[in-house]
Amino acid sequence: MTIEFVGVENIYPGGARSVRGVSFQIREGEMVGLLGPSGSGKTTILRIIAGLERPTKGDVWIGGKRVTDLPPQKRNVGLVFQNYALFQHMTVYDNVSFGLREKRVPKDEMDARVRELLRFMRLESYANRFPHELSGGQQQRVALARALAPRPQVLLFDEPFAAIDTQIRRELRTFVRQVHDEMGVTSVFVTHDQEEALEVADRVLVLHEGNVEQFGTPEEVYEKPGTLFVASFIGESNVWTRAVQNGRIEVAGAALPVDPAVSDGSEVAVVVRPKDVELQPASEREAHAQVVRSAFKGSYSACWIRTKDGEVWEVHVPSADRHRWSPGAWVHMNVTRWFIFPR
Amino acid sequence: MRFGRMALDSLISGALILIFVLPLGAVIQQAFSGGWSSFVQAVMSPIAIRAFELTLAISFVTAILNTAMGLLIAVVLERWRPVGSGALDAVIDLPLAIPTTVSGLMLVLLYGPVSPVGRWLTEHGVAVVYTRLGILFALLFVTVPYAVRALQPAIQALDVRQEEAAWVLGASGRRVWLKVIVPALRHALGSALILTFTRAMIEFGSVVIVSGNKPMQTEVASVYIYGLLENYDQRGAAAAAVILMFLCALAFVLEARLLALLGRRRAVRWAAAEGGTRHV
Repeated sequence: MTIEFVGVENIYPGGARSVRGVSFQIREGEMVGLLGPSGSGKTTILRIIAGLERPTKGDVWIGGKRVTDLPPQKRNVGLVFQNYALFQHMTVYDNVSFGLREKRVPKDEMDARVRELLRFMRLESYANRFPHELSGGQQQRVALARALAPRPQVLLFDEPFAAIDTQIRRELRTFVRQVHDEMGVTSVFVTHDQEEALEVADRVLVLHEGNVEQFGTPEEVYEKPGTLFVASFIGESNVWTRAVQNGRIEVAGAALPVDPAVSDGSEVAVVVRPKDVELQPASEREAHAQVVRSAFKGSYSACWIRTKDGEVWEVHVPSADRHRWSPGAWVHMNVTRWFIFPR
Repeated sequence: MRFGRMALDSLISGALILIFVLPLGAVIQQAFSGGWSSFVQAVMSPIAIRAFELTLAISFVTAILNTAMGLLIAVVLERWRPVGSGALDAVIDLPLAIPTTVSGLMLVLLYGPVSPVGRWLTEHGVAVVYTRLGILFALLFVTVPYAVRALQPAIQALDVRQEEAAWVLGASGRRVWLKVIVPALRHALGSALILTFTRAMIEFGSVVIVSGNKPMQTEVASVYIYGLLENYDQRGAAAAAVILMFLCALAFVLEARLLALLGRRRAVRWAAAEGGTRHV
């Protein structure tokens, strides 16, 4: 099922705007990650899709049908909450069958569906347990089975992995992606973890202060950020402000060309990813900067280098070479890739 | 340090004995001072039996009505929060803050035959003061804070996400109440029920003013005990007091047993899921 937002705005009773005229379209069978910092409006958008919030302005369409005024009971969506929101007084079986009971599905059919989902979620032997007797990962799988039971057109996840420890989180991410692929539903998940969004989603909707900053594939938002916010929010980056002089800006000893439309004297932001800086040993007189600290991070090492202007840059080098860039070493910097945005 | 701890323990034990154990012992001793047959005779008189029947019945009705009312008020205070809910929250405690005799007086002045309300009710065939209806009104007034305060924290602690999950799964508002909210509140509802029931059982001040204390008609157990004392029948009063205390204690025990039973049923189902290997 496709999901479409057309000029959706949401204003809270106090007057605060959580979503500001947002428009986007999610394709059928796609898995989309809503990514942004706290207060960016991502959870509100998810709740609007579910029908738990009504937009102040604009329209929501699911599967080509206008659902703006439709209550959550009639939208046929599945929702998995961050805290799982399992019914604590019900067993796993009763939790999973809840939606089917509400839809008055015949008992045999209901039982078969619940057992199929419990098998799929590897929860068969936990059918008679209560939620408080399960681990976080198991509870998450129960919540997923409960959401999937009534065969929803759209599956929504509100920060689904936030309350789970790192190891299980990685397994669950893969599992959720597998569930999405096998069930063939359209999925939307909210996260503030960019690694999670880039790994799991087909496309990522980057939100900031209730606006859509960029909607694209993980590669697009990382490699071709559309705004300064996206460039600085997705992935690690060095962000500096420079004044344009003769159509160029000076960065680490190099004069980088700027869009001719930007007039001389105006300020721009230059964003350089730590992986896009090459270091070379240099004498103190010729060097651009000096290494002040380095940290081993596994496949790469992070070096923090201070330029002669006092700026501290983060640069990533292969871990095999890290002994060359020990604190105190003088280096020459070569910026291989950069993004420039108006300030 | 150790001496200080011992002194504190002794002080607490002494105080408990003085204000709790000794008076209780005195009542029990007095109740059985004439032997078992005298005790039975005192509590099995028709007036005593009728007083206990009335007390139990009217306390039960009060507990049911006020638990429902308490739930409604607690929901309004914690969920809907309309304008003036702060004032309502404060007013709820009014019956706790004023003497219960004043509560009774308020009801007599409002519903008595000389007041406009009382006159209007009488004209329409409804008598409140000096009737069982009056006793019910007094008990409802006196016990409502117990129900509200027992339920408020439980409603505060409800996970709204569970209700939202139920809506998204297709449940109507009524079904969400029945299947999600009420079961989640069952312990608090049980507490509200027992607290209002026991408080209604022992109420005296408001009832003595409102009920008219007609034996076999409007005389409740606490007023019956008072009547016996006024007639210098200390042994009879003590015997009735023992029964009243026993009934209240029984209510608390039943509540505890019920909660334990719910917990055990959970554990049994869990054990069944484990193939019956878990000892419960």
